Amino acid sequence: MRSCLSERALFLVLENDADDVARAHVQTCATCATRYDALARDVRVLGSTLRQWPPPASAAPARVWWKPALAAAAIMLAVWGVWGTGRRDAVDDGASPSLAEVSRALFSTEDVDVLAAADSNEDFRPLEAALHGDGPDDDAWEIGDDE
Amino acid sequence: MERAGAALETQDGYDELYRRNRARVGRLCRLLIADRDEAEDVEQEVFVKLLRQFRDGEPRADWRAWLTRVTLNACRDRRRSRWWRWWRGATDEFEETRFATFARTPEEEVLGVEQRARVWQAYERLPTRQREVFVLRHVEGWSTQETADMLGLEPGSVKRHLFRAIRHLRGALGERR
Repeated sequence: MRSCLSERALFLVLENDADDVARAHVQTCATCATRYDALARDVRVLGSTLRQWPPPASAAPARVWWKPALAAAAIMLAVWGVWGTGRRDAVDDGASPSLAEVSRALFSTEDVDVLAAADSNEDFRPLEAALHGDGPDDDAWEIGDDE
Repeated sequence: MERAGAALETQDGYDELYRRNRARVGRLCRLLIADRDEAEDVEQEVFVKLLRQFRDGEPRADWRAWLTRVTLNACRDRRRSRWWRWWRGATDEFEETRFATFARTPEEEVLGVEQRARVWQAYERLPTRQREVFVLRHVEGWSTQETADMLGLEPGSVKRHLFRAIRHLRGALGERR
């Protein structure tokens, strides 16, 4: 005895495209006969459901929100890009006094002369001499004579 | 006089065809496009073609089949439009329509609103080819061979698409079985 028909085989019976053995099986096997009836009924119901207008309100598929959102985001990005570029140019002009001040303070070479002048300052001469080992009076540094 | 009579006959013939097929063509457009406005546009396009065909005096053995083929092609052309396809996802929404309604079968009355909604949602998720095949075969009632001819497919291919469509749609009826 042939085993129960597959779903595809039942479908082919419904389509009148099955072989005689399959058709005979549906007539003799209670299980397959029930499955066949269910398939035929479901197909009928599906067809008649899709014939109905309008579909139930809850059939409305979820709106694909990301497409308009993506478009809006792209537009906003473009606007922000254009606006940001314009603003950056404006900042370059507007902030230049304070930025230039900071920049001058950090990287200025004008103070080099001042420092050079300080090198030759009288106040630093003894210290400079001590560093070079030729102090003005070595004895002055001695606390006591042990000898 | 004879010409005026022929024109009148043509107009009458067209009106009759329009009256008989309008709801069917509208439903087909709506099922294959899902956007009400787009479906109405395509429907009008189809009937303009019918009028031209009618006036050109090319008699058709089966206007119903001709209309179905023209509708399918018009829907396909519309779907192929790139922008339309892009926006389609965002605008797909079943709304109250002016399309004709059909009497419900007792079996269908058994289906609850939620279950019918699930069937529609399952249908919406079908690939285009499976939708076309299912609609022509089980909503319109064409034979497998006629469906294959209209879609330019082999009957075996129609059966394959149909089997997949039915299996998917039956999933929406799961709790009923």
